[in-house]
Amino acid sequence: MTVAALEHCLIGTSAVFRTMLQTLEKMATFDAPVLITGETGCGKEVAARAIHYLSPRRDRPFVPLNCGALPDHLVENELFGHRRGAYTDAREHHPGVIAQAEGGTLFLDEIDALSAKAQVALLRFLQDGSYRPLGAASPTQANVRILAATHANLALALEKGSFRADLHYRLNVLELRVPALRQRPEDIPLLASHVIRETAGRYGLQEKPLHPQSLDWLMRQPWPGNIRELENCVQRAFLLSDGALVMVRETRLGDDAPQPPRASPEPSTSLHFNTARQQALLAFEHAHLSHLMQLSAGNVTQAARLAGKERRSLGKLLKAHGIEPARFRMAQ
Amino acid sequence: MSTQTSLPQIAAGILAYLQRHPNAADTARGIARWWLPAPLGQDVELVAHALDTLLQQGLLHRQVNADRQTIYSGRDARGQG
Repeated sequence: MTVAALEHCLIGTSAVFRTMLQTLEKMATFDAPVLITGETGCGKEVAARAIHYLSPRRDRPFVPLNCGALPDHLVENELFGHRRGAYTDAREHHPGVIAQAEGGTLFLDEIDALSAKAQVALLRFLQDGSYRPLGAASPTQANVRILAATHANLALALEKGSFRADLHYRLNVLELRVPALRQRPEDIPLLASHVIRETAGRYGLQEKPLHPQSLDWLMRQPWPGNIRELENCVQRAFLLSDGALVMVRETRLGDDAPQPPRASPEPSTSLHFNTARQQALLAFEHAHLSHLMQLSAGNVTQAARLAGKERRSLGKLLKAHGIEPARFRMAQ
Repeated sequence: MSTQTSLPQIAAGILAYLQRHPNAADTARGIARWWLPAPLGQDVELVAHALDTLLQQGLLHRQVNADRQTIYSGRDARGQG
């Protein structure tokens, strides 16, 4: 693991993000359990891996287990494993995730999804670090660091009694709070550029910058799905963009841009054919010129190149439609 | 699929990491992000493909857990626990 790998995975320069990183780096050096909290999609698993790969256990396994995806009757088998013949279908030895993570880190995601029975089994293990695989004659002592994560309000779960307080104490020796994306909007340009770079690399495409208006829009969204939602949005916009700049669909007719007259969805039968055609043509021209201005951020030369027209000719058209390129430069 | 990196390059990167860290294990996503340098690890699907190729060649071990996550490790690290 290199510094480059860290920069590749933990992206952000905002104060709130840098504070979180400093805490994370400190936590990596102590061999204590960490409870990682934060909203869905904010990067809890990335933070867990960062703790592991920055810790002295970095050369050993990192084993994630999504507790929310485990059927309740399989939890003990999954955690502790079984010996051959432990039960009818146990045809061979199966190491549980604790054994798989030996010497390294076990990451228990969605810890709040564990049933009461599963919480007891995990608590028993955390109390002395020993466990007995199903069908084993004697217990095994584990050498594993436990990291757990939740997007749920554990304080509420504790109050309701759906999460054991004694298990919470064991897991919450250290708590790392991963900030929501809306708490660090200044990181969005970096994150968006990273997504475009990765997507371009993945699909063998040329990288393109985001349109300033789209970037402005991205920075003003609440992003309830956090980084995962932003990634999907930017990736989609990049893959579907035709112009020189990446335009997020929602901002093509943004609230700051001049609104073109809309063509009627159906041609009016009360108009003479030639008049109706002329109106539709004007509406098309206006919409297309506005779109060109948005794509080029008000750069007439670039817009002319995109449209395959001479700059002078495009300038005349813009003037005829009353479209001022300067209004599209406001976000720069 | 990426035209920037090839499967053999990714497979070589994974084996090189395991040579330096023979007891390491992780999922395809973790391997893509934390074991490989950025250009090689950009496409997680391609990394998963490279891992399966190495698995077929008997150079890796994998464990599919009940939550459907697959953990890859070096062949020699197998049998712990």
